[in-house]
Amino acid sequence: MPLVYDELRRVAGYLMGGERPGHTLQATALVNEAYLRLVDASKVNWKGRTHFFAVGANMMRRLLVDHARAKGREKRGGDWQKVTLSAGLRDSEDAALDVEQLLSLDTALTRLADLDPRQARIVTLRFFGGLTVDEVADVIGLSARTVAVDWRHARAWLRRELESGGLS
Amino acid sequence: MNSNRHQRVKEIFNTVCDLGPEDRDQALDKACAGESALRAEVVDLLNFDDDPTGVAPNDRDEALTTVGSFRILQRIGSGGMGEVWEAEQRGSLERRVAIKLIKLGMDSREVVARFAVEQQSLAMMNHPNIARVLEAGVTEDGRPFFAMELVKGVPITDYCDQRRLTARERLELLVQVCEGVQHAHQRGIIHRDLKPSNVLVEEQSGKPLPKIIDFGIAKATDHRSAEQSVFTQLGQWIGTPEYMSPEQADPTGLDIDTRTDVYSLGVLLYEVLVGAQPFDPEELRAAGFDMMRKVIREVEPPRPSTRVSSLGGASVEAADRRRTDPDGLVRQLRGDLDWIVMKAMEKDRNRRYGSAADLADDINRHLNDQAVEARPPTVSYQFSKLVRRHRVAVASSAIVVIAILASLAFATVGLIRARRAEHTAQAEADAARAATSVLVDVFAGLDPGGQTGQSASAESILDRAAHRVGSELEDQPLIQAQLLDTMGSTATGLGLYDRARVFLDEALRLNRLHLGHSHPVLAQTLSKSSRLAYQTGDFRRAQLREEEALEILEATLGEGDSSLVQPLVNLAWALGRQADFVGAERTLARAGELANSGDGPDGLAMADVLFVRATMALWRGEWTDARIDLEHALGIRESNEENDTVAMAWSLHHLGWSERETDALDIAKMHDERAVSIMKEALGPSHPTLAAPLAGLGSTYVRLGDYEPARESFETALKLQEFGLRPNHPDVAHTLRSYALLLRRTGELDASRQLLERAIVITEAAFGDDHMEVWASVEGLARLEHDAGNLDRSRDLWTRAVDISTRVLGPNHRMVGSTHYNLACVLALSGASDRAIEHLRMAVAAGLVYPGMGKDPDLRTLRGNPEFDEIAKEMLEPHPAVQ
Repeated sequence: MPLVYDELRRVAGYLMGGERPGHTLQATALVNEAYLRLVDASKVNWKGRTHFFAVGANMMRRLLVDHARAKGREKRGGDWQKVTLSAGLRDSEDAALDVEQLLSLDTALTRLADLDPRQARIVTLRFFGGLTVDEVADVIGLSARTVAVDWRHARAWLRRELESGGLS
Repeated sequence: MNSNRHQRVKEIFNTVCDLGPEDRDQALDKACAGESALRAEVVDLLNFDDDPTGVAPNDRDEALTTVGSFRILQRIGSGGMGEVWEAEQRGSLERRVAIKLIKLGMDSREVVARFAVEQQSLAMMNHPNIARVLEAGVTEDGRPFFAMELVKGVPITDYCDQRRLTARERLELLVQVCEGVQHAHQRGIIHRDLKPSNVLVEEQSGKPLPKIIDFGIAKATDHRSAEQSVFTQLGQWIGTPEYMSPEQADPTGLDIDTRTDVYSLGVLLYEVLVGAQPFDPEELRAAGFDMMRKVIREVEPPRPSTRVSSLGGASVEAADRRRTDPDGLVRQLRGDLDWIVMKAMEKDRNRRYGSAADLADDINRHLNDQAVEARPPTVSYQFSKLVRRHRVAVASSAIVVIAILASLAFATVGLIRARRAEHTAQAEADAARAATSVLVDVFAGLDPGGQTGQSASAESILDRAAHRVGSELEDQPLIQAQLLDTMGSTATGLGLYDRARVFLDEALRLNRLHLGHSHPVLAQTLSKSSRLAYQTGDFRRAQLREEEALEILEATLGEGDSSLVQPLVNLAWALGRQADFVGAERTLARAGELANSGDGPDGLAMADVLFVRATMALWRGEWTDARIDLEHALGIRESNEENDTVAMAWSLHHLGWSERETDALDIAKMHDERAVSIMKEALGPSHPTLAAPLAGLGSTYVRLGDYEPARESFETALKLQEFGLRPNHPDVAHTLRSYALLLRRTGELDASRQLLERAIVITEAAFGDDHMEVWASVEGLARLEHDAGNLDRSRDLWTRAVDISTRVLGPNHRMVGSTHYNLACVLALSGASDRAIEHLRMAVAAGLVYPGMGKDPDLRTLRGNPEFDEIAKEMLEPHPAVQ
């Protein structure tokens, strides 16, 4: 869906335009925006939206990572806007990730995908697509219970990866 | 770590994660069976485990029975962060409360912190118009909650409508709401989602008490991490689009402050006063997300008084709920209340009321007949800003007028340029520049939001344009004339007939003065003037003007030019409405020839000709001829993929009429319904022209015996005409007559009589005595009086009807014959047998064929009379004198 990707990129660029550094930004808001710009929200049924977000989530992840890498090269996170993922990886108030954290997350996710592709997919959908457990279940075609269980373990696993992987 | 291992770890993890510490150890031992590395792995992961999230939340929910000192009864709703439950106080008080609890699965500290702030802020509030916090605490499983006063009330809009509160009473309630909001603001809390469903009205000791609820998304003003986005997952809004302030709809995210609530209060005030929201919610949502926000940010909504007028028929209901009528409501809102509401709803929050208290004060000033502070400030809008607004697809008659003016006027500048080929480039440039500058000034001075104290209605725009055109283009009379011509036809189209006449007369004068009496541009204006006259029912003038136009066109373009078709058709209409059917036929024949040689027999021009002819056939009762022509015309329009849907709707409407008169009722209904829906689509539901097909549908319903749908159609049709046309417009008579027929059927004879008497008055005034429209009204009343048993009255009316029809149609027309017959019936019933028979003879002479005469109960008294029997026999065969 090149059209979607372009739209997402444009939206992300604009929202991350960054006159105001230090603002948290919701990744899902970006996908939201793009979705609603592209599709007349009232006419698409729920299933359609969910699937859109599923696709969008992956793109969003790529986008943010690309953006992070580009930023990372320029300066060390100075004017990078922190990104809040919708389903809080951390419990602290400061649930935002900076450049390095985002890149680490991406790396960790990639590693997870090697071990359990389904879990990685669930995490991507939740973090970057903002889908609930039920919605993820619907997209993937599993029971909510299965998804919840996978999710819980994945979360713990990622946290451990990130903490021991040298994030502050 | 490999994939298999990962899976095993996952399995074990999931088995043990919910267990208590001792059980957990046991289970781990069992599952890992001595593999210490595996066990260590799982234990390590367990350290990173949170409280369970997203795991069977429903089970936990149902287990909840008590919270604090309250017993949970049922869930009322759920919001962004938490859920709301109805509960009752344990112990002696038996009080019902609303309990707000954090949603399961959201126990992250950030959420808890926000909740705590909300709880604290709400606890600080203590105001009669805000739902009170009674208790706050933590549940057994560690979730924070607070208990609020349960408000048993209805949304403020519903309350006001149910009790039919007047504008004053509604304002008094709104003042209380403002005071509540002010109280919250003083404690640093912004509601952010004020709307009718969040302002409930309770009754305490018989008096209404508004209470604001659901500060659920309220934020303390000093909270740091204010969310920039107003979205939650999957595009759910925080805040409701119709009530959302411009700054909330701005994705670049300015901070929200107390003035956001002032805006929402403005919208609430608007809705409570007017009975409709400033932006039509369907249009807003249908426009799509992006457009919706754009509209909120950029488009000025119509002022309350203007909005009432634009509601059309619905304004009667709205006014009634405020114990007044539409005119009264408009009067109440115009001025102070318009200004107050619009000031609260300013796009630029610096220009709004600074606080809810200021808004309340101004409302109170109005209630006490003091001068309000919301004086319209002087603003100069940028031309570009206006142009930007035009691009937003929100319907508004003001914008329609601008668009028409702009496009047509610029086009006519080009037209002038083309025609004045001999002029120098400089003069052309001057002409173009002059026209442009006038338009720019007009647009630039425009203020659709009404802040400069002048309404941006179509009327005022046209007036201002006229003024400018008059004063600034004095040395460009031809451009003046063109612009006035355009404005005149625009005004005609909008139903602003007085203005239209002024504009067009002036345009004519200028054209005659500067172009002479035989210029095509003059002909164009004459045609427009004719159209205006027709619309206002002045058919004679319409005829004269069109004839003048035709003369010019024939002289300049030649008699065989196909652009003569339209003026000829218009002339035929004007003649037909004056019952000069001979003249009309002649004109149509000519038009038909030209159409044939121009567009061809299947061209749209031919369709126009056919339609006129068919309509006149209908007027004369020649149903079959009409139907044939109409089917032909419809066929042409459909195969040409006719863009002029209104023309199609008219063809269908008349076709329905012809089918109805020949008793093909199901077919008629089909055509009628289609006509209504096409016209509604094209003109909108409030256009007076819609009355015609609606009345047609109504008549078909009557014939079918569906009296209630018929009544509805007629009522709607009348309302549309009452609003859209001047009161004595001849078209109103059609609707009145059709409606009267229904009422006759349902036995509501007095009501029917009233309508018919009115119809007679209207048609007499419009047409004088010699017109079939008068005949139709008189005849209708005659039948009614016949049914009502007022035979003398009926007789007089039928006599009159005979006179009229004879004068108009001549003695040998079938319709004259049937009128004689009806008169004969009444005469027979009142015992005047001889005269009855006289008229029967005349009926026969006129060509009436009615085999049932012999059995007609009205003529019972004549049976046995040899003259009567003779006539009855003759009735069975057509008289040779029939056409």
